[in-house]
Amino acid sequence: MKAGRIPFAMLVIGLAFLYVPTIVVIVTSFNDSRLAGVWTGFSVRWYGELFSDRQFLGAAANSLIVAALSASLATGLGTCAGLVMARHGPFLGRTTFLGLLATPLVLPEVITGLSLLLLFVTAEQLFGWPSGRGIGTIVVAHATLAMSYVAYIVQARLQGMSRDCEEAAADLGAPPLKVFTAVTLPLIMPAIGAGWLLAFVLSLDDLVIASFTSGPQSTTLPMAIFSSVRLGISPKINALATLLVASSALCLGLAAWVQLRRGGKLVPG
Amino acid sequence: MSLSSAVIDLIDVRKAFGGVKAVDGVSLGVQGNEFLALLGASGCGKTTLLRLIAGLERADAGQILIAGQDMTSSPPHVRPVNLMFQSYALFPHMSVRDNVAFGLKQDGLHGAELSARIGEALALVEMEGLGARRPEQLSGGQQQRVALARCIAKRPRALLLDEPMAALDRALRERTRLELINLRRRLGISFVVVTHDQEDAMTMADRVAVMDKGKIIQLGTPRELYDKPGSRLVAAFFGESNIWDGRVAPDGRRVECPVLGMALKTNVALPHVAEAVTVSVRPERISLDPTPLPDDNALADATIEDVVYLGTVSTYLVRVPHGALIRVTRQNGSQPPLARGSRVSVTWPADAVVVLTS
Repeated sequence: MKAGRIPFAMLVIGLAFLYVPTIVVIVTSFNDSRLAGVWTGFSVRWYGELFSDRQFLGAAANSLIVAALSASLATGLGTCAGLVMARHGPFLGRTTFLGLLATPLVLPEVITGLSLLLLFVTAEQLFGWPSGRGIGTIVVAHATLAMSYVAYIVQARLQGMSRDCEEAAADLGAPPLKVFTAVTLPLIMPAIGAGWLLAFVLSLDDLVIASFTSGPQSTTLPMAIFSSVRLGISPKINALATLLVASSALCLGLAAWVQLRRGGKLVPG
Repeated sequence: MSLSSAVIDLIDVRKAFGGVKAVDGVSLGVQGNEFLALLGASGCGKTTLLRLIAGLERADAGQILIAGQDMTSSPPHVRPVNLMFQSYALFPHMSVRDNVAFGLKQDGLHGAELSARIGEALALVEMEGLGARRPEQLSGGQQQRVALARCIAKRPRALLLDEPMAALDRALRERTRLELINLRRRLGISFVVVTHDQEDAMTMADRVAVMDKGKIIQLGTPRELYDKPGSRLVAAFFGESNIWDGRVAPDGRRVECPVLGMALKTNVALPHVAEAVTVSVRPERISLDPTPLPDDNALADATIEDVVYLGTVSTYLVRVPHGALIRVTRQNGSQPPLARGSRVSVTWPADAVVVLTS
């Protein structure tokens, strides 16, 4: 395929616009100098300093725990929603449910965060749960956002899949639950796995919702970075950002690969 | 047809999808040990009927009896029939063996008995060596055999086949037809096959039900349908035919056909004088250039417009003076070929004329 010069130049400019800032951060993270503008030599000393910083390590641990838990919760709920959307014919309010499920995808994160904060505070006053905010509330908040993504990925997979295999399983004597566990679930597993990874990344990257719903002992990594930047940029942050970009890219790449391997669709919806 | 001898009994079964009647009052008994074909154009309701028997669709009205039991509202997994899907629907995440084992495990089989039944089913379709393969590693014909083995391993009372030949090439189709006939004899169970191909139906089935718009319009052996089609649609669908509009002549014994410019002699009883009828004459019953017998229908001064050579036979398209184009098939070899543009006379006996009132 031969693209013209001008379209190619446009592509390069567009991609540069997207990726130059990230590349600058990655390159700077290996700079020995404390000053971003001066290259004094290749070094991994900022990575060393990063790994000896207790505050950042604690925040990273919090982030990983929150991401894993919220991704699992979102995957469970999102898979159920996706199954209902794709496999259970028209029911009263189906269109409304579909719309409601899409709302978190377009709602500003500030609004999501604020509304969840209000919900948690009110719930605490009425039921005594959650007692204060912390890891648990961030997990719930992130799962709320991510389950919509999971639902759409699972639904897309199911809609692209003929029902023949499930019907064949029923015809061969499998009751409905067995059809689900032995046939449907293995066939949509790539979509579920991709959904989990996407949910994990969404949680790992989130600053806004986490800021609203966190408590004193539950600072996540993006929050730690944001607050430390206000005191002046340490090159440690560049090293950390590089690691985050690398892990996010790995997760997304993995999600795409898992999806494509079984001929699923990459784009949800 | 008594209820007790039928494996599957459908009584006035109806099914509509959003107001469209897919199956519109079908009553049908499938005998034990019978090869029955449901034949019709796409959208005639034949696949829906098969899915109703399997339990994959619920009937809106009517009754479905399987092995004498009312199963109208039973779910598919309790029905003692198995369906082979047009897509084969093999489980892509399981090996061939596991595909065949799936249905047997639902019956609670395990251990040596399970292995024996899997082996037996794979042997019946000559796929013993390929148990460890994944479906995606098999050719289309092999996938079909696995799908077949998966169904017959369950030893169903009846095997339902949805367009089993649709994905096969011509050579494989003919072989598979013979294999299905043999398999049915060996298993001694009923086969119900859905097909849009009249050749499939004619070569395999003991009886054929021709469907149109959700109804069975004729049910009979292939020979009955071919020799005595009950309607214009069956005559046209089941084999090739010359079909002309006509009217019962004033003498009440012949049929006047304007496109032929003659009144056809026929052996069958006719309706009232002047009533509109359709006549059908099979192309192989028509002769070109013989000496006509007194009872024959004959037209002189026809022209051969086209010749289609088909190996053992040739089809001639012959234009008669009043405008009709008549299709004639002739054995090759026994008779000298006729060239395009030759003048011929066309003759067919009175008993070749089938008179249809619908």
